[in-house]
Amino acid sequence: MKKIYFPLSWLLLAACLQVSAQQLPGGQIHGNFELNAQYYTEDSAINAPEVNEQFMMNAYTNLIYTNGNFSAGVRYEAYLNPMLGFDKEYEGNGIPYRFASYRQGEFEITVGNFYDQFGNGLIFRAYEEKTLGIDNSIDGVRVKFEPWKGIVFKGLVGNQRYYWNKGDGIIRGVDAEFHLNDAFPKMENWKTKITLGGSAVSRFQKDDPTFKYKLPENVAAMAGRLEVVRGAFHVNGEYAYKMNDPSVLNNYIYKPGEALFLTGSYSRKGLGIILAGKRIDNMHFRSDRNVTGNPLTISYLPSLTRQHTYALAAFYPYSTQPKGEIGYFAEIDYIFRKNTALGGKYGTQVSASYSRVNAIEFKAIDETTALFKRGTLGYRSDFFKFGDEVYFSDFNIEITRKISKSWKLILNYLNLAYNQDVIEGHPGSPMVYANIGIADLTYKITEKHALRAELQQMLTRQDKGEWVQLLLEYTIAPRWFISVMDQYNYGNEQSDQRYHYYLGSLGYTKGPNRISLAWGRQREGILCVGGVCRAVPASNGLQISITSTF
Amino acid sequence: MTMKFNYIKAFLPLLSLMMLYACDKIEEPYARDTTPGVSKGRKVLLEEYTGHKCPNCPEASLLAHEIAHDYPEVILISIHAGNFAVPNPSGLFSSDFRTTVGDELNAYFKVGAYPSATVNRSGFQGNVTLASSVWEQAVASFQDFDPVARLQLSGTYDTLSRQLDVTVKTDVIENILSPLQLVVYLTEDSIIRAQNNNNPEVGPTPYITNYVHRHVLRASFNGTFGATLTTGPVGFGTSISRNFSMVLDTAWNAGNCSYVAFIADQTTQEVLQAEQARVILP
Repeated sequence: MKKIYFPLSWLLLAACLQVSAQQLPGGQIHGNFELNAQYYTEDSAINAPEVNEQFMMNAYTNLIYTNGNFSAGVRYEAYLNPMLGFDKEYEGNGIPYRFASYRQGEFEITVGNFYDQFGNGLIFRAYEEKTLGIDNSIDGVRVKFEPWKGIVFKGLVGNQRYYWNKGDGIIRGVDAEFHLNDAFPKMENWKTKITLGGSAVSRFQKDDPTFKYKLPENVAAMAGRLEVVRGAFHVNGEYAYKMNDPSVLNNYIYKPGEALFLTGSYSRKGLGIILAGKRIDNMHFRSDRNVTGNPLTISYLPSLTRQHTYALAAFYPYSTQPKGEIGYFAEIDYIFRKNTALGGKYGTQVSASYSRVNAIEFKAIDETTALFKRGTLGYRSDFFKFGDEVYFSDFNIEITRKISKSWKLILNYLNLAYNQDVIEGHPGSPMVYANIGIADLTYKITEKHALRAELQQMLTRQDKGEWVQLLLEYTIAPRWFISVMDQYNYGNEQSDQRYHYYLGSLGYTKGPNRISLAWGRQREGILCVGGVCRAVPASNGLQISITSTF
Repeated sequence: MTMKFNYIKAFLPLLSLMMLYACDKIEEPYARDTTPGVSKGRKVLLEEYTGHKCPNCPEASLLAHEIAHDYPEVILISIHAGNFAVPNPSGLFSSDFRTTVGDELNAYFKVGAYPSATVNRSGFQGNVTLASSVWEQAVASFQDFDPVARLQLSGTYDTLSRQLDVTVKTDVIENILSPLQLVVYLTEDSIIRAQNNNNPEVGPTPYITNYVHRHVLRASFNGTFGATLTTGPVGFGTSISRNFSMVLDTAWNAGNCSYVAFIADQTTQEVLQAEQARVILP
């Protein structure tokens, strides 16, 4: 891995500020700050470990200077030491992110670190998600070129961030997007708006002559996409193809990868419908063929399942399986109008969705070669055929109704099937079938004071069995909130492990500043955002969170 | 407008060509002509960090043995350390395989995930502590290295006193500039105790009652990081002998014990050569 050259960032910013002072008087500096920390207490009952440091912190701040067409910025990060659940590789502090960018005529030039995405991200997405400990920003050069209204080209070259270092691979990418209605005057007034796009990405990583199999140094991926909008209808589709990319994640097989992503939606006042489908086949794509976990991802494969926010509903989240999956998603949102039998005095919103993800079909390449055998094509698979193994399914319905000026009720029901073996990578774990019911009731005492109660229950016979959760939250708008919560694993088959996970929280917000404290237990689990997940270990202690922007 | 069209005409083919050529298609056979696992004389020390309550560890141990099978120059040591190695007060997992040496190594190499391993205590892809997914590649990366020294081990064991006397002779066969450290450990093989397991292809889940624990680190003859062997550059032909003694714990099966010696670069900690020998009962 190559070391990031930190002093360069300061020089770059200083140079930028000097330029602005000489030629572009004024300008603005804005930024934000976020700190999450915890004082840990050992709690052997829930497997919360003893933490030598006792106190751990993740914090960062962004400073961005803008002046006309010019901008530059840095981000300082400190992981002293990284909080439990975050990779120890983050240990330390420094400036891993700095950039300068300007726009001149048809060109926009960025040097240093940047985030970007081609289309839906199937073959390229550089992004950060601090809650998951993901930051795969590119350190390099990006050129955007808009030679004509409605036509945008992008080209970029760089390495990806790998904790405090950079990944071995070099990423080269190009993207072209054509907004036909803008590009062609004849189409300007069409009701149908069409956007076409195409992209290609190539990763270079040196061969390893000591490894027993030949490794491609240049691995290319290509994608094409189409977006059509007409009135209330919206259709988006993208297909991606990746050349042979043997890696530790696919057990060094040489089969090309593919991904297809299709969504269609209809939306009018009071009604929304979404239908979506996808197929993924051998689409791990990293800038280092030897890396596992979440770092150095080049491709981003969205999960196409509903992302739940209630704690027990989010207990078993789905994690996209780049190795191979096929699935679909359907959602309908409807608002029963107010002053109707079903809508009541204030109207009622109903949202229901169903998603299902299966394995793709995995067939042996011949009678004598085992599936996924190293140094072979690995397997064959019919494109549209669903594999027998269910990875995930989720039926859920949510009803939101304002009962009176003071009362609001949300009811939520979920039926989940969760393949713990595959999703969490724990061979031998069971298929979890769970029914979850949630009631969320808010009582507005006065204009500023409100009390909210959440009651959640999960019924399942697998994993750790049944759970119930009660949460009470008192809000004094716009500044204060206080809440108490208890998650109780009353249905654990092992009666000596039926633990309470209590948590008390207090928060204060003033303008752009927010501070919150929480004390209690955090259960062991999985946290997912957009189909990408990290394991959350059990912990106990005092948590503190501060956010601020300027 | 013509200028803009020229931009596009120049830009598009350039980008398309760049991507078209930026791809290497590998045709069958995918394997290289060279035969893996052929030792060229330099031994590779794979120290696996494990624990009897670690459910992912049996699969990784199996992998380590497969690697040792494919690469005969590999010497394995299993170091029980970390949370998964903490024994229960009673029951199946009450055995304590932890050692002071193992705990200190665990802390020194900042092992945070189990199973992990170090391969010659050397960096591979920027990391010294390695996930099992890259063990084989890390081992393979040492195939073309010529040895800088040869180690010859000999020992005598007295069954009455349970004393093991070991001699390690280091023959330098290349000029070595850095000072060297000599480390000698004792391991015990084939200890049958319970082990958590989550891979049904390896054995019963969630635990294997009669799991065979291999190459378990038991103690060091000369401290966690050994003792200084040379303080400066040494040249070809240098030969140094060192003697060590240890009284074996009565709980250890002497017939299953081995002693592992290795020399390491004092500056980088990289293991430059290693050797092992079994305890011969009289």
